[in-house]
Amino acid sequence: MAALHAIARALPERINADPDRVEQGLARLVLTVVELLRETLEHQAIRRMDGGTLNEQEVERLGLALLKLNHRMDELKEVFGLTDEDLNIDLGPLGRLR
Amino acid sequence: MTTHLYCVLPNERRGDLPADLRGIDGARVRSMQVDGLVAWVSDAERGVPVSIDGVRAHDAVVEAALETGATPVPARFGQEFASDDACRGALENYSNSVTSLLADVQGFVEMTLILTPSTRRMLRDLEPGFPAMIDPERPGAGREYMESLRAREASTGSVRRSLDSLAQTLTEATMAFVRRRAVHDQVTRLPLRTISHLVSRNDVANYKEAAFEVSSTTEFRFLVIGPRAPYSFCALGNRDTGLHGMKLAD
Repeated sequence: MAALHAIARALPERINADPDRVEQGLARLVLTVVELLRETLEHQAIRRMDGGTLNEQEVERLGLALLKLNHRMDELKEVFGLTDEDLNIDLGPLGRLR
Repeated sequence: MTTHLYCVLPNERRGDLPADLRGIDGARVRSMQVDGLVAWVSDAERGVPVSIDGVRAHDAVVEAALETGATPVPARFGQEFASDDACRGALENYSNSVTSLLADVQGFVEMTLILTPSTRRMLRDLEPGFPAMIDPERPGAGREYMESLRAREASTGSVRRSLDSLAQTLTEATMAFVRRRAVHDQVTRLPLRTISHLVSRNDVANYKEAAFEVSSTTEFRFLVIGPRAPYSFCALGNRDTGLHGMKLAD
């Protein structure tokens, strides 16, 4: 919940309603949230791997899923003309996402 | 046509505007008196897109104000006022805060330290590989991806710790000359630390000397930028942090 409040603060107070750019603006908002969740998942996956709670098959399966998610995100960013910096949101007191 | 605000100066500096000073898009800069302050403004086209040239032109005018010998309070770039009256009204709304801020920074300038890993270090950190370049069809790709994520996290953490340590050393070395400090958020993926200090004009040489006594290493280095106008010390008590000039409007 705290993370959601932080994201809410980071989002623009006004939405650019330019019809030619509204799709990209919405994509940016959605992909920013997805990127935050993806990086959180990756971080958690490393913690679990280091904690020894995953067997070799589970590490492979989890890694493969995260790798494919990473590739899918790259494709979506390309489709909407977004860069990594566009998704690098300011989380207020927590700092930037990256 | 709109009004672009560059900075404000104390009223006694109202005669210091250089003749034929040009600002954004070559517009002539003029002074405007507001509640015991002097604002440097120019006409600007409505909805001018943000550009590097625009930021440079804005900063050049603020630097010209700094060269008068007074310390200006710079306005944040990108604010648009519908007219001189709108600009005057926005300044009047914050009159007490701006006056107090202006008095507070007289005799002081901003010095900024930028700390960064060297190119050698950045290249070394890339060695674990780009996770995104792993072919998912290759056997063991999942494990390889997890290992590359772990390596990336480890190197990022190590860089952050080293930069924090260098920042601490520089802070201690320059402490005697620093009146106030502002730490900037990281705005790029590159691991940087940006720290601004408010320093007396009389102490600029001593501050630089103290900073340069701290050695850069082959892996980490720092730049000392300034003196410049106190962009990072412009909080007016509104929602804005005042880290990029005073913000009076959207």
